[in-house]
Amino acid sequence: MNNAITKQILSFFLLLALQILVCNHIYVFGFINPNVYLLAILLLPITLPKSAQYAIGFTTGLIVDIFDLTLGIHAIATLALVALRPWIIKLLSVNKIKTEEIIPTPKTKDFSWLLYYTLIMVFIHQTFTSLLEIWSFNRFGMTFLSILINTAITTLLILCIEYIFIPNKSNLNQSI
Amino acid sequence: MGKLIAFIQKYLHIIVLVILFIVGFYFIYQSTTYPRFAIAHATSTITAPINKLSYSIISHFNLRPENDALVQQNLQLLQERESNYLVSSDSIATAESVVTDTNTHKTTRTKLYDYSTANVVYNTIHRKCNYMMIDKGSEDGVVPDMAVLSASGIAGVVTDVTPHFATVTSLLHPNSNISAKVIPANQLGTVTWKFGDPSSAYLNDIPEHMSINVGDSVVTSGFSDIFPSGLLIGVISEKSKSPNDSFLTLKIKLATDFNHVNHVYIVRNLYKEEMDQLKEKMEDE
Repeated sequence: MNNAITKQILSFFLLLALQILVCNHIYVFGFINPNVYLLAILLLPITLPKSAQYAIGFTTGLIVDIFDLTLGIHAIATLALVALRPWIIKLLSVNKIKTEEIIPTPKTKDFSWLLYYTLIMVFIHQTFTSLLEIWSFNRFGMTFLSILINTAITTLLILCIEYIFIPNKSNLNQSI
Repeated sequence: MGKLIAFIQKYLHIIVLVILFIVGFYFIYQSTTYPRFAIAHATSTITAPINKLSYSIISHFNLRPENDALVQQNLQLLQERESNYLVSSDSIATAESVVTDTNTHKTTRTKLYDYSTANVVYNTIHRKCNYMMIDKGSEDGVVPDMAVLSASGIAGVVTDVTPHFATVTSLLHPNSNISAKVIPANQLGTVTWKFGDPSSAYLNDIPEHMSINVGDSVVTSGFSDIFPSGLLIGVISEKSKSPNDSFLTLKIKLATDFNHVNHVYIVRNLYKEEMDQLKEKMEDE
């Protein structure tokens, strides 16, 4: 258990570093800026106390904000994401959540579940950051397009990272 | 008392959520006005070294185009040195300036602008409000309201300084209004930028009857005491008549490639204090 926690914390900081040092400098076609650090939020254990989850979410967003000079935008978006997360997991889970599924990773969930989960979460976050940054509904078409493309790219990147670095369900089944 | 503690324990997460939301929105509210720099100021001790490190790696990839542009800039500076001086014949001012005596006239040359270089350690171009951070600060003599030039054109204005770093409001900022003129029509206008395209801006206030062509140069007017006159801002790329008023809508292709700004020049107006004093008097009246 201790080992798992250490791994989680380490991956959290690695993802933040990846976001700040690499992804913040990527601008494909001028407006695609993947937010890979969201994976750290997606992987938070569901059983963690809610206030702790809020604090972690807010701090994560704030760190990204500080390096981006967009104070508050990522913090609010990430906080909203953490607050909405239990409902999204409830919405997606037909059955009652089993105790071993406290961290939604490829280990415990199948691909389609993870895809919907990541897609919805990233879309919410992207909507918040875009609207907070532009602070208006002017040029709504372009904003909406950038939200959609950004969501797609970020989701793709996050799923890639998950399936590369976390041993997944089907592999485990095969080995057993 | 026990009830209160039980209540707090039960609803702690909601209290935390509301407090964090308030803090977040307060940050956003702050960052829309000037004091955002106060926060950037406080965090720059952590962020600046990391940004500097990452830019020291990234800047290598842009060396070639940047160096080519530098050679061009140096050449241009050599050619244009005269425009840094105020030259007046029969001047009444004699002190502190180079005086050439000819038989009939006295010519006074007063140096008005001084240049120094800096490196960009942080730069945004795709946001609604764009900023740069440069590695010169108050210890290097940088003060707010100094002009910042890139190798090929103007880049922004210094807004905030710390001992070793300074924040520059990029030309790509909705609040940047730069007094400009079109050559050869010699008509004064204002250059503004709108969110969306980091390579172009707009020139406003040009009356419809002026003969402006695509390809005309837009340069600084020199009437703002921040930018010296005659610095290239960009070239007119599109021209259209707006149906609502009698002004032209002119799109400018910016001379500065904000994607590749690594070295910048800071311009110091040596007589800014004097000019400011006069301005204050004007405003008092």
